Amino acid sequence: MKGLGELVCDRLLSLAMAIAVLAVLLGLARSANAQAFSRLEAGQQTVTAETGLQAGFVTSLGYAAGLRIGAIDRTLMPFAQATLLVARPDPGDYAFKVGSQISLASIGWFDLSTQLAFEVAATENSIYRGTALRTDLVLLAGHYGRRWFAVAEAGYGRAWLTYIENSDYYRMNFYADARDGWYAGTGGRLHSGAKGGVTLGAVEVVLRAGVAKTETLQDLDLPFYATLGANYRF
Amino acid sequence: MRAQRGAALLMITAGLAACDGIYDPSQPGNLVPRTVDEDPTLPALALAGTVFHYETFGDPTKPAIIFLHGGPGGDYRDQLPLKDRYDGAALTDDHFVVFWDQRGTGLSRRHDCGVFSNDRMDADLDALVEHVSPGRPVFLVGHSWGGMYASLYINHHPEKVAGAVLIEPGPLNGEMFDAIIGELYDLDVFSEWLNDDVWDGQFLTADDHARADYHRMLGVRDSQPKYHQSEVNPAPGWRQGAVANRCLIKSGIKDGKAAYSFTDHLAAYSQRVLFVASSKNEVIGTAFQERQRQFFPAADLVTIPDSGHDVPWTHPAQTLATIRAYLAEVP
Repeated sequence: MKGLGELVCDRLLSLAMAIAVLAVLLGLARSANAQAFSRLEAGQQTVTAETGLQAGFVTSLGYAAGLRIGAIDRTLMPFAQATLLVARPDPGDYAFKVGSQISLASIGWFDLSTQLAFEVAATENSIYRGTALRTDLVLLAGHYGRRWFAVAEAGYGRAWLTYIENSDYYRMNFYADARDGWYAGTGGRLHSGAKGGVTLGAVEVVLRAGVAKTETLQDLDLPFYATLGANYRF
Repeated sequence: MRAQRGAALLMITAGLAACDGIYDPSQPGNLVPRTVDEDPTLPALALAGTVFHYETFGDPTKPAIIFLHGGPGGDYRDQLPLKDRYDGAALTDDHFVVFWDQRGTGLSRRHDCGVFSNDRMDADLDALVEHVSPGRPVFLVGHSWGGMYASLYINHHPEKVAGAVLIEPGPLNGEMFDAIIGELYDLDVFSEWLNDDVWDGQFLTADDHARADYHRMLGVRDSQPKYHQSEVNPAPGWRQGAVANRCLIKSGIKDGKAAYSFTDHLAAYSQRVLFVASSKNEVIGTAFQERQRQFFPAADLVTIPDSGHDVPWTHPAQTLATIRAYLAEVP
């Protein structure tokens, strides 16, 4: 007998596999001939598009740039990304994050980078409407080559403050005295996985996949993520 | 409202918000109601090493009817209309009526995962039977999971059950479960409820009971469209026991397969049993219950017209009339 969470996983896993197969086919279709810019050099810019399963079936659009910070002898990569839950377009379910990535250390072919983002996310469902103030901290360790890159990633995302407005449906049928307002520390997610990409002219195709748990290592209804992205450099 | 929320957001990010007015999502009473452990005014019964939310109606010297709610993880709120009087008749005219929230559900005490098993549920109900009707068989009325629960109990204690009404019970054994597993939930990856459910993981994670219970509410309304439950008059509840639901289901799994059976000894149960089905349920409606009643040597099946799986809530008068007609014929 399978619980609802397991049944959900089975169904969504098949979609993730389809995305992975598509990414492999894209990677094999053309030869890479330009430097990968998942780690942008100073002065480079990119627009990004990403779709797949990540806390829902989502699509994201973003922008990033490479900025040289002479004082620390590093290239900072600030970025912005907007995400919509697109399974059934619903303007009540979105996220917008701004953040930055920076290389912490490079030893030979190996690079260790970190990414910190601040996010505003919103949801509207049958029991509440919510707006969360989140942070996401990610460590990236691996190799950035001229034509491809592959990194392992591990991250921690947390909703520090969430405004919850309980729905009329919830109040009328379950709990009339549910409190609307700001809630502290409503959720945290740990994730680990891998990200890799190949460059195809000015376009980079990126595949991310991994697993996720809550911050106390409880199961999530969607315990994995798998996305396919394309970045265009200019 | 959005403008107000945006303004409040800016204030907080600027560090102007004080801690007053910022709630703890784990605190009972904020997102989900208090249980018997936090609210001493709730009617309660300490039994079998736990505390149940518990109410009785009628004369305790009369034969007892114990109601078993759905789930696992639901509560008895949507069964309460069955205690009322319709067309001049009520169950309390001739019976002592008992409602309770099962272990870890509704307003009963919460428990962690390890305590949930079919054996524990059997022991809980046995303790309740002995408490409300010592030495005298009881009637069981179970809806959905509650019908499964009644079968579980009859399977082990036939001598303690004078009769049973099983209102659209879920699959009574693993084989019946396997027959409908693909139909239980709407798992279209593009469905709004499913994406809302997983998107919620960005906001609330099930790291404690209260948050897990609140999150579980997300699927209640929309996850089972083939059950045709009322959208205009949805069945109410108090609290979904997320841990009870997840862990009791998990206890019935062996090597990834449904390995439970509440039917092994039902062939020896001599009392007549009544199955009640809704007319609209496409998964466990009349056809499915026609198969399930074969597990009992003597079982009738009645279908309530124009009803969905929440038939006790939406059609209390018809449901009650059906139960009363059955009770009048049982020796």
